[in-house]
Amino acid sequence: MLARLALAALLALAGAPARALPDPFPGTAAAYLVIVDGVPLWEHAADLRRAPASLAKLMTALLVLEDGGLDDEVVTSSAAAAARGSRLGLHAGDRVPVHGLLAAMLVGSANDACLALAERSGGTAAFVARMNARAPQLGLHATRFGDPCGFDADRQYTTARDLARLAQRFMAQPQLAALAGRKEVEVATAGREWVYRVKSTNVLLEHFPGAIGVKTGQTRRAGHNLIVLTERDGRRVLLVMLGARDRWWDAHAILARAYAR
Amino acid sequence: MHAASRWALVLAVLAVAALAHAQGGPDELWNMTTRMEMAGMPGQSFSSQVCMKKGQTQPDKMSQDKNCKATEMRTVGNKTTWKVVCSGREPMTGEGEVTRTRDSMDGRMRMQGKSGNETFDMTTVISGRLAGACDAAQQSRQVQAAAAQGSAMLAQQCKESMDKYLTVMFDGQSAPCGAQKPEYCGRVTKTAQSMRKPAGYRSAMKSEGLRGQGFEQAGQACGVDTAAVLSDACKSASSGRDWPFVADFCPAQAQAIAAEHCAGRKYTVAMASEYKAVCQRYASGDVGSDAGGASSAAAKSQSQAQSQAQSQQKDASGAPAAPSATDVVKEGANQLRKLFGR
Repeated sequence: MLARLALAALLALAGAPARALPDPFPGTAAAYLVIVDGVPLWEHAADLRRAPASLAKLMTALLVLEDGGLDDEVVTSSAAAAARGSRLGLHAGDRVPVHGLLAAMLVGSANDACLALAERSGGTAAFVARMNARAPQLGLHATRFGDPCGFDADRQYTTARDLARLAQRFMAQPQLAALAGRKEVEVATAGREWVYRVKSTNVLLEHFPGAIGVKTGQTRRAGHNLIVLTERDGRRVLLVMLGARDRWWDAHAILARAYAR
Repeated sequence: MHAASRWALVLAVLAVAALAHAQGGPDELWNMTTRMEMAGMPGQSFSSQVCMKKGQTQPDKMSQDKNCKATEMRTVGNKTTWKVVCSGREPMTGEGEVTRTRDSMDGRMRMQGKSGNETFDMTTVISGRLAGACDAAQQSRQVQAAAAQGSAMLAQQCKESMDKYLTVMFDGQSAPCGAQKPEYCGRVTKTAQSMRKPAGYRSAMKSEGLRGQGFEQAGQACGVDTAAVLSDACKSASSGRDWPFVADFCPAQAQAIAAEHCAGRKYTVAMASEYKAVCQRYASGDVGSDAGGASSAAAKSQSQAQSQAQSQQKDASGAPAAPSATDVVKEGANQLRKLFGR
């Protein structure tokens, strides 16, 4: 009898809709989620499907790290060299170590570096398949990738909640977390024929005291996306914003408010 | 003598008396229980050991206080009565009686007086039992040593309080270091002079006692116009383009700077400018009552917020996404013009 009651209670709980968290910043983004010390605090449409833009590169980086061989050299293809948007400026034939490509992809959101990494692991289509296979294993049940670098693609989506999970997995990897917190990084081709200085696209690293990571994203379909992790006095605040109206001002204000509570 | 130091002396007497019992001697060691009762306050009891000369019917503590004098002391049979008059900054009068046998002592003492603007009426009930022998002379020497040590500790505490600008130690009827208030206020006045410049102000604010409302409290105690001091420092900071100082200490100037150089501007441009410190405060919502990027957005009308949400819902279905940066800047600038009245 007791077991039956417990089962009924469990089923009732499972069926109950999640209680919405407060949304003190309506209109700042199509979706956002604020997590303080692992506990969700504020949200707006955190389960709304949105385009990830370059935040997809967090998953790409996780897979590249799992593959290992960070000192291997990758020869840049003409397709990678022709990548649009943010780019390192690689030319076809340039040989760059994997760790350099990883740095350029995470710090400068370089699409040529990203494509070079995906091509190295069996081509972009195979790589996207791996991303989608890995997503549910990481607890991303409302995410589907369509491009390793986050270019707008049909049937590609994620949510603020899934991206928070992905960011937490990503930042748990010391090598990736270190790169995601760099304001600037130097990337060189093999033999140092060419040396690039790459500035972070996450300007909060420079201007929000306590910002320690993670990544920006921007495409026509996604708008302005951002995941930022901050730490002050042992407290951690993670903010995910998708389709932000005024990404930097608002992120700064939301984070400040989270710490001022 | 202040009430605090008077009671400190009494406690010193009792503490030293406790040491005396193990030493033996020609005098009597008594186990004393004392209960103090005061109107409006819960009674407090404490026990102690007191060394008294043979036949003495009251502890020495009254005679330790040079401002207090016992009068009309009478002994009839085994009962002694007396009156006490204390002068000084906290005058009080009292009367007491003690009945003693060879090995017991019971009595009460009532003291009435004024502490600051408040009157008090305190009754102390004492009960003693003879516990053994002790040396009152040795105790007296120890009491003097303890009193000297207490005075040295108080002097040290006053010095440290002076260095830390702890106004509460110098200001008020019962302030432990009240005698040094003129010296303290001299120091506050001199420091306030240096605080008319940003560097001096910043440096002074590192002092524990001046942070928060501390400077204002010190100013009130010493007659220093702290608002004028801060005004001078802020003017100096503005003319010297010390924007971090303005951001930290000058809300009115910071609000004006924010309206002109942060509001409606691109975040990265504002943060790369010389006004970064002010813009950071502005972004955090610390400058002005309603300033701050998200605060501004949150302040927008509900209908506008709803229309934005609807527009974003369209984005999710594939329609053109975020508004242009120009639109956002224009919108932000309009909001801020309303806020700052420009």
